Amino acid sequence: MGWFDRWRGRGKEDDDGRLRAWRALPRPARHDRLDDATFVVVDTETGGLDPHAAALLSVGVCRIRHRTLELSDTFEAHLRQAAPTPDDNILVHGIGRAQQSEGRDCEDVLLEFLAFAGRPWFVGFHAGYDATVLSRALRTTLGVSLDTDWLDVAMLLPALTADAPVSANDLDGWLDRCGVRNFARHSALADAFATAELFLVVLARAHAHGMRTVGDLLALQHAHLRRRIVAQSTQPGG
Amino acid sequence: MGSSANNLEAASDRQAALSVAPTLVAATIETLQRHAPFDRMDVECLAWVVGRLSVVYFAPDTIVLEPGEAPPLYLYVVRQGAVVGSDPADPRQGAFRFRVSVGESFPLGALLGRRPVTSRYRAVGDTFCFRLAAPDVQVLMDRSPVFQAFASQRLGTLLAIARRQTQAERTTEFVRQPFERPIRELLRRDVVQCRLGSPVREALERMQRGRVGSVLVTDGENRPVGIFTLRDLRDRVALTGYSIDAPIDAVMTRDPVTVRVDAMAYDAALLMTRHGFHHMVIVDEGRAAGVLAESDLFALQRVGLSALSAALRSAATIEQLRAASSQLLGLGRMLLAQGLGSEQVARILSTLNDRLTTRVIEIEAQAASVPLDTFCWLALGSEGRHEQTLATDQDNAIAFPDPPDDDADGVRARLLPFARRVNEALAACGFPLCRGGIMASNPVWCLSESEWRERFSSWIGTPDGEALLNCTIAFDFRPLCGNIDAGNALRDWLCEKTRSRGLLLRLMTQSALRNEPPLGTLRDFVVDVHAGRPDTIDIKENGVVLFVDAARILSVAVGDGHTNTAERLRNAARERSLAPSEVEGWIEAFAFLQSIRFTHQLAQVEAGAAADNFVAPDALNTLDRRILREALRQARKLQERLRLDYRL
Repeated sequence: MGWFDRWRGRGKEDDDGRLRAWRALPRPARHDRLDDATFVVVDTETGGLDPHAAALLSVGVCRIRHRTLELSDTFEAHLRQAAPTPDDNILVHGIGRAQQSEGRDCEDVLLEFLAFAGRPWFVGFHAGYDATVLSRALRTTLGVSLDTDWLDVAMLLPALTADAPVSANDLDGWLDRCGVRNFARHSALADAFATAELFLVVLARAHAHGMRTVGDLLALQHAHLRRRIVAQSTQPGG
Repeated sequence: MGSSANNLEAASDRQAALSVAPTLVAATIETLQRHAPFDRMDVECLAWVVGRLSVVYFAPDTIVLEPGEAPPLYLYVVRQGAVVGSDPADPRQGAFRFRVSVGESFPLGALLGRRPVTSRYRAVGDTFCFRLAAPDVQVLMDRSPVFQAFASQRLGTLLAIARRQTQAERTTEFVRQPFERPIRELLRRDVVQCRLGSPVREALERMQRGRVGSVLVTDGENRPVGIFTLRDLRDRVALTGYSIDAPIDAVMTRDPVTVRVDAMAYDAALLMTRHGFHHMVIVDEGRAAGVLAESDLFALQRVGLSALSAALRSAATIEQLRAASSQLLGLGRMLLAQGLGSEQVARILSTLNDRLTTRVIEIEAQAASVPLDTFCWLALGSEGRHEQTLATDQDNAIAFPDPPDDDADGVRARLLPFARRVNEALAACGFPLCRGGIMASNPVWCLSESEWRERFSSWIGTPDGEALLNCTIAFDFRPLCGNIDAGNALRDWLCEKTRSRGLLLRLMTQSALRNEPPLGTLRDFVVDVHAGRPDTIDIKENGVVLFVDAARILSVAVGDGHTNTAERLRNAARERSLAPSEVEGWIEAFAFLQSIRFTHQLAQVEAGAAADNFVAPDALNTLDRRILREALRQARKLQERLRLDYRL
């Protein structure tokens, strides 16, 4: 990835140039093959539960390529907050007041994130949440739009598991079921890493089902979403 | 998938990527530290490992690795789930060989040996593995003594397990062989019997004529009704004063337990053990067919070490020695069967050979009136190293004290005829004459002490091809009998002379390294190098000798006077503080090659063929083949060590 090296070589002031370079990268395509597409798994920790309002506290990212997850190919950063988030939420993400104020500049982190990620297929667990948080931060800080579908392990995994209830979608349950140990739940990198491991399972099962492209996975995800909506609407009190 | 362009890209990415997040490093280190060998690695080294790890997933029942032509690309550490190894040739579930559980690594042997795996590795359950690329594993070997010890120990253990198993197989084969044959095959003699009502005297006469210890008593229709043994003679006749002219009926054991002639020897042995009988009556369709004695079943086990040793010691003629030496073969087989390692068996055989040779020399020296203190008989080559097998030519020499009048030729002239007779007598006892003429009866190998020193000096000074060849034979000399002091003095002088002789050692190494282990890159073994011997490897030249040569170089370099290969390796290891586990791996490998060679030669000799060293790997069982590869890889490791030492 020559663009990344060129970027690193430039002065810090040339942010626009960096963003131009990022924008010039080819977008991922639905016909990308699962075996050699690049997937970037993202988890965000936020200062609240509303993705449209909560502050982005930290981001953890891993990359999967050739169905392999390299430990050194990961990225994690805590963002500096103008004002610490409410105390009750600190209990969930475990990022204390001191750490929040010591975090790094939001713009730097997001630029670095783009540099690390490039333009891959993004993956998350309940990906909609992370996609919303991250997109909002990128748009407001850098004026950048990721402009891509996200793959959601919380939908793909039940869709590819014969005996799973349509509604089974909590991370801990799936980690347990697939025997994945999360080294530090609710740390962005640990959750991203655990999600990435689950995505390795998704890739293996998709392959066993004869799926070969990212488009196949997206189709499956949309079909599962429809099934879940139907299931929820027919359930009393759903 | 995995094109080289992609790999390059991945590699440059990895370089460019930011360092691993500290939390992830810490967590992964903690996971690894729960298991050997990571539990003993320092944190810095673990962090290095973690920075190079990947995580991969295998769905239940998917194949992780399959025997093929290419060596594996990664070391796997099971993080979650399990992997089982099975025999790829055997489609059954029962072909299960081993299980790799959480925290355990595979396929270490194949990776370090740069060879394809021999088992099929299959995931059971959802399996996540850490993965370390092969080049990183090699670096880790150099970086971490803990990992290196772990790896060599694993290989050493593999060799030890294999050896135990081989012994177990051989033992059962040995025990089973007589016992699983039908009794009919073991009955050699006509049955010695007498009729009911015959006098005891008649029974005794028949026993004496038939040279047996028991007689079967039958009725008019040849049905066994009793048995009479020497034990009965003692207990019921001699001690009670029963007349030997009275009928046998009252002193025989009535209604003997019988075994059908088509039963297995094992059945008879079981009954004998259970009832404490020494004889068993064998019947064919109800009629007496013979008597089976306990000694018929256990005959093979009565080849006695001490008896043979005593027979060799007390032999008065070459003829008697020849007779005793013919038993050495059976002894070797028995010792191997009883689970003794080839190193020990070779030692025992070598000791007995020494005894035999010493006795031959004593007898011939007396006959030729040559006083024993006028010469020292030197064992060379494998005999000098205590490593003789069956197809071993004589290699020997004489060193005699410098005569006061400087007339070495005169002494030689007196010694040579005697040496000739010893060589011939040894040939008669089963040690073929050396085709290369390296024998005490050859004037070139029958020298005074100062002539020997001169000779060694010239080899060491101008180590050309022939000198190097002579060095390999002569450096392994061992004073055997006669004037031992003269031999020892020569050894001491040689140790001093050769120690730290850089050029000599370098040339010896160069020549030793020309002989490469017959390991193929595509196939397991290189088998087609011997004209007229397709599909075989020369287990001596291309196996055993690799270790022997390397051990000699290591030992000469440190000025060690020992000649035995295992001893030389151990001493050199101490002297140079090589890792003991590494050295034991070499010794195990050497012992394994010797035992393969031994077994091969025993089978040939027993089939009436001449013993040779051409072993067909395909004729070995799967396990032995696997260990053979491992042993040859150990030879390669040992050679690598020398290559480094002498920068070749």
